[in-house]
Amino acid sequence: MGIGMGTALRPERWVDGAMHDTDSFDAFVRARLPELLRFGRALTGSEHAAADLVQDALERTLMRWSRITSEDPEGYVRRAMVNRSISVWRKLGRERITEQPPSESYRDPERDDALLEALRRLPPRQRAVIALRYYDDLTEAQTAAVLGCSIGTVKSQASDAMAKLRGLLAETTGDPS
Amino acid sequence: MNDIEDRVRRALRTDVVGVDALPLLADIHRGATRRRRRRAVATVAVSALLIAGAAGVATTIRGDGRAAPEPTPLTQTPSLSPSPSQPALPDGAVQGVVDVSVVSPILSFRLTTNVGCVACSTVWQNDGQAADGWTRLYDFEGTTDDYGGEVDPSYGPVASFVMAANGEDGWAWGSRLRVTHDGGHTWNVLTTGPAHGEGGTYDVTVTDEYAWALRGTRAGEFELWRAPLGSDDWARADAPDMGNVIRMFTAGNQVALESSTAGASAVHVQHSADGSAWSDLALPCTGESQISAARSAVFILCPPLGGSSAIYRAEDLASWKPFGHVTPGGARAVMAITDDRVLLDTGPGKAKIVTPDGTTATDLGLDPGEIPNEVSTSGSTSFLATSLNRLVESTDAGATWHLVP
Repeated sequence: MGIGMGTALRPERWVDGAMHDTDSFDAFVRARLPELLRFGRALTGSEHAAADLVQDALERTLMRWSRITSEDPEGYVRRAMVNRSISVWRKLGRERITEQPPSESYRDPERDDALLEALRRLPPRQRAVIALRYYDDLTEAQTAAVLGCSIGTVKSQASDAMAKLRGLLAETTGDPS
Repeated sequence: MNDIEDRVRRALRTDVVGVDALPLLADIHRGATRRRRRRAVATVAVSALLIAGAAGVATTIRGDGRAAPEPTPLTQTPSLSPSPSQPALPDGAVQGVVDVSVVSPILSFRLTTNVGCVACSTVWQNDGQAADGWTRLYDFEGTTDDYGGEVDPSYGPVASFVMAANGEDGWAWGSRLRVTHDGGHTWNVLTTGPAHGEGGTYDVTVTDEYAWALRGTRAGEFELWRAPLGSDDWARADAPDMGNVIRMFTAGNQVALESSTAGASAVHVQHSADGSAWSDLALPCTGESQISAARSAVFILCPPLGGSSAIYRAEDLASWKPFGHVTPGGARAVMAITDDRVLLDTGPGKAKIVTPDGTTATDLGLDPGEIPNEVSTSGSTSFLATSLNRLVESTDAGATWHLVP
């Protein structure tokens, strides 16, 4: 698991009609969708936003499928998701809280809504650090490489994020753990 | 690991239910078709602009899938920053300072992204000669090789850089490693030494004699390389425990590697002058400590214990001695400013300076939520790059700070 680091994909033009390998793309999506959705939820704190993020990344991936199948397609998708989640955060003004409530129509009794709610209240870059460190189990160095920042920044963002999560959980449930 | 970390891991690992693959696949195929049509339209527009360009109309637009030109030095007289004619950026684009390198009290360099250009990174120099302080030296124009495919105009291709104390040699990296030997006026992409092979992540630091490069491979392994300053003669160096390296730093003429076993909070530091023999530096505390290096000294911020976090200093990586402490609640991050001065990020909008004489509060002038990312110092001049891509400066050894326009 994890995002391919510094993957250098060879430039290649898209040619209409050249996407002859949709079967393998569809198979890839069917096989990896649950994993990508979990990663998307870790990045966004929302199952709804996770589905949007995954769809956006997979559309971009489909357009390049013929050339990335020999590389690391899942790494490509994950990197696109991380970049997109951070850029959406920037677009929204860095501190805006995603108010999207979790889907109630498919309520999973195992789902920790309080934690996801707290996660949504973190700045997206902090969520990305949490997703990479605690979902993908990347090291601080690998996380820094993916996010293009220093290890010190990863440490401070992770520390700050955990402190915020503790505070938010204590605020909403009275129990930080 | 603690309870909150356990809870986060558990919560993130539960399945997401209610999203079916088949309808999603149909949406994906429709979305890709729409994107392809938009791209076809854009390609026609770019072709028209290129024809116009042949007639003398300059354009900086790059079509998707078309490799952008290799980075080239600016041929015109360096312009002052920021360019008054900032090209339009897409929503969500990152713009501003991403890194800074101070090589002497009168010579500093900064790295920006998307300032006066799009999908580019720029090296600027401040030698006190330009009217507003900064002279534009070089634009890195992003190519498909930098982005692993389609050029993304929302950020530049270079995220970090370092300049040697001689002000001539420097290294800059994103997904590719570049080098300058003429003070940042020209840069070339490296393809040998630490940049061999396909893909990689980089970190470069310098001592008085060597540039040291740490390369992360796509297999998740790390390689250590060194080259004498002024050359591209890279040689591989090896150190014990390379599989668990998390960071590299230098102090004096020593290079040091910090390592951590996955899942364990303890770190381990080993150091060497030339990469041939390594010595361990035992740490003064256990747990989630943070290390930051200055010119010759290294500081460690220990985790809070009884409401206070201890700070230790190791001069020339020899042994740790108590340097100070911070209360209450510890600090989020420690950044060494000089060999006898550290900056502590103690929370939103708050910072402290710790010296052998004690601890004083200082105001960095940052917005709530804005975090110091990188600090670089020479003499009493410090520049600090922030998470909001801004630059703040101190000319009095960190006592006061002001935002750089």
